[in-house]
Amino acid sequence: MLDPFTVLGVTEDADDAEIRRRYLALVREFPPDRAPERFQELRAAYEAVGDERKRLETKLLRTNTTALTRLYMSALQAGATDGLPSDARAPRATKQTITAVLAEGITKAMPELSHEDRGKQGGR
Amino acid sequence: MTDEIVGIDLGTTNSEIAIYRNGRPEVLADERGRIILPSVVALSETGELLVGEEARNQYLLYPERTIRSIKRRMGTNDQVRLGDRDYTPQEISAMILSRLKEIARQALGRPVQKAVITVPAYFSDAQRQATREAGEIAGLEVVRIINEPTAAALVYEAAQHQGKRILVYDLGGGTFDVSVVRIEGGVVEVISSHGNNHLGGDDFDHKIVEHVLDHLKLKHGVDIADQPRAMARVTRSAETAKKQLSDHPFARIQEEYLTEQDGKPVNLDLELARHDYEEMIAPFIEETLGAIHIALESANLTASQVDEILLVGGATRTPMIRRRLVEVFGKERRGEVDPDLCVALGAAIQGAAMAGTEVSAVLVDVTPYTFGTSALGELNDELYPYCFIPIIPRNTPIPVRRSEVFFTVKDAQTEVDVKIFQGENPDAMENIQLGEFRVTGLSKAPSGNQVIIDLALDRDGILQVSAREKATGLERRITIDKALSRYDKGQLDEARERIGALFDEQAPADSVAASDSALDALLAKASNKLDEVSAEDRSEIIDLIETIRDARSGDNDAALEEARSQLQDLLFYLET
Repeated sequence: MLDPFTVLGVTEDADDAEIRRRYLALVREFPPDRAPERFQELRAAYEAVGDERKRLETKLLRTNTTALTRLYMSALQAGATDGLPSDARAPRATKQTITAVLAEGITKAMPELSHEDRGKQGGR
Repeated sequence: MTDEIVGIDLGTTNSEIAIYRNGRPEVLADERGRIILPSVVALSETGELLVGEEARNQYLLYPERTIRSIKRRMGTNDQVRLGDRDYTPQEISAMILSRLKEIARQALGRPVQKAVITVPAYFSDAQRQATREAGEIAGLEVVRIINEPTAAALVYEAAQHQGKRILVYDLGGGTFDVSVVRIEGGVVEVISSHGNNHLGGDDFDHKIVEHVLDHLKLKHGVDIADQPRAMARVTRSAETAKKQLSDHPFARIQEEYLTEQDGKPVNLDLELARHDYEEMIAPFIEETLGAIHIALESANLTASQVDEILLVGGATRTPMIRRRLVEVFGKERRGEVDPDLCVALGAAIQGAAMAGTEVSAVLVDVTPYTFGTSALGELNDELYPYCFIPIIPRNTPIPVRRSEVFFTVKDAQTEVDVKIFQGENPDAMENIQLGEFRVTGLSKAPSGNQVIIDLALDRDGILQVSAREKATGLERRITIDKALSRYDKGQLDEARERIGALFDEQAPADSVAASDSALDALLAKASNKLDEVSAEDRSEIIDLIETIRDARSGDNDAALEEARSQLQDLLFYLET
């Protein structure tokens, strides 16, 4: 994935209002109708850094790729060894594991955010 | 300009066609100055195809040869009978679209080929596809299908400068939608959408009809359920009563000589109080309020954070709806749009934007449904092979592409079945299956072989699905719109010729009732004024035009004269 800060053309210390302003200006320039590919890039970037918590998650994911990849792979293994008679298996365990890692990282980095409800992000 | 794109509101009860010109959208009028086309199709006594008001007027005489509310059947395999043959809902809708296309050709002096057509936000994939097919049968290139509440918000946007959160409450003849929209910096973003495809003003009419039927059984001991003509009269009276109850506390439902009982005439005369009517429709209204809560919840908003409410669709004139909304939202925060015309106007704005015209707002719409696949997982703490795994959650801005990794369960598993669903239930089998395919020839890897499923949803709600074995790149893909289509290319061409022929057979334009040219001129003048007057005057003009049209078709000379003189006065007043 492209770096969301670069896609939106903002610095890493930009606040919510600035990022939103920049996102809306770019959407006007590249509307979904006329520039669907570019719009999708913008949207993905905005979703990745649109608020403080997401920005933190994005930065953590970026700096901890190695550790996360390892966790991800082991979660894969754990989730896939049951050998049950069906076609495909949902990656639920994996996502929960990553969510847990992120939550821990965020709690350490910004204790004041840790009481927030995790919301729908880590679900299913 | 051959690239111009018109906007069409193909409604359950009424339809309109609009175009963006001279920097603003306007609804086009037919040769008699009428801007609203009733969505009714009929065959006359002589076998002539009637569309619009003429078709609606003959409903009382020949209900069996008149088709109303076809929109409610879009996306089904139902066939409706008209004359001596059966038609699909797409074909009937195509007749309405053909008439609109003809209105535009006459109004603009050139044919139109491309259109943006609106559908309820909550229309399913199959219903959208059917709408697209109706357009193609009518010889229109449907460049985009957009959501009705979103179109309404686009019209409203023009006047906005600072950021606002808007709730669009759209209750039409047959469908209900609620959308939460954020308008800011020239961008109209839909945040969430919810609704019911089978709830609308028609249901209010049905409640009144049921009430009348009960009354007839009780008072006269007569059941008219199997008498189409009597039923048509009661239905029409019920509609009129419903409209009256918007402005008056009581409505009188009268039909003389409705039917016979033991050789004696049965006259219907029944008074309906608004209070009793409201009790009948309360469950429907409560259901719409429930949908509002779901939409607000998905948007992470509370009622007090909504800045304004836009009411769209004729049924929103019901006082009870306005009252309940004030109760829920604490105060009246109503944005002014024309509930009947704003959808077509918004479609015209979107059409212009797509044709490359600079318009005030850019639209970011969302999918109202979740799309995903099924896999082995846990449902209610038990292993279950068809757990629904969402890949594109509802309210995601479109276009969008998302993928998810899945794993083979057995060693040396060389095949996986991929099923694609639309819906919200954790049990995939409770959702709507849109398509399925099998990926064969996977490597004989141990279990845990990764298969990536990728969904791409475009602005028209068309879904592309692919499944890829990560290790080898082996891939299979399908496009869901083909899976859902009722027609192949050849059938579409055939239907187009058939429907086109029905229109060629009849004399152009004036096969209709005798016309009064002075009155026509007055109506044309009035509808031309619509764009330049205040919302209040506009609704008054529209009411008067309606009254004149009704009086004219019902041969009610006194009412016609009165409305005519009122309209003349109003136009005079507006000009001075």
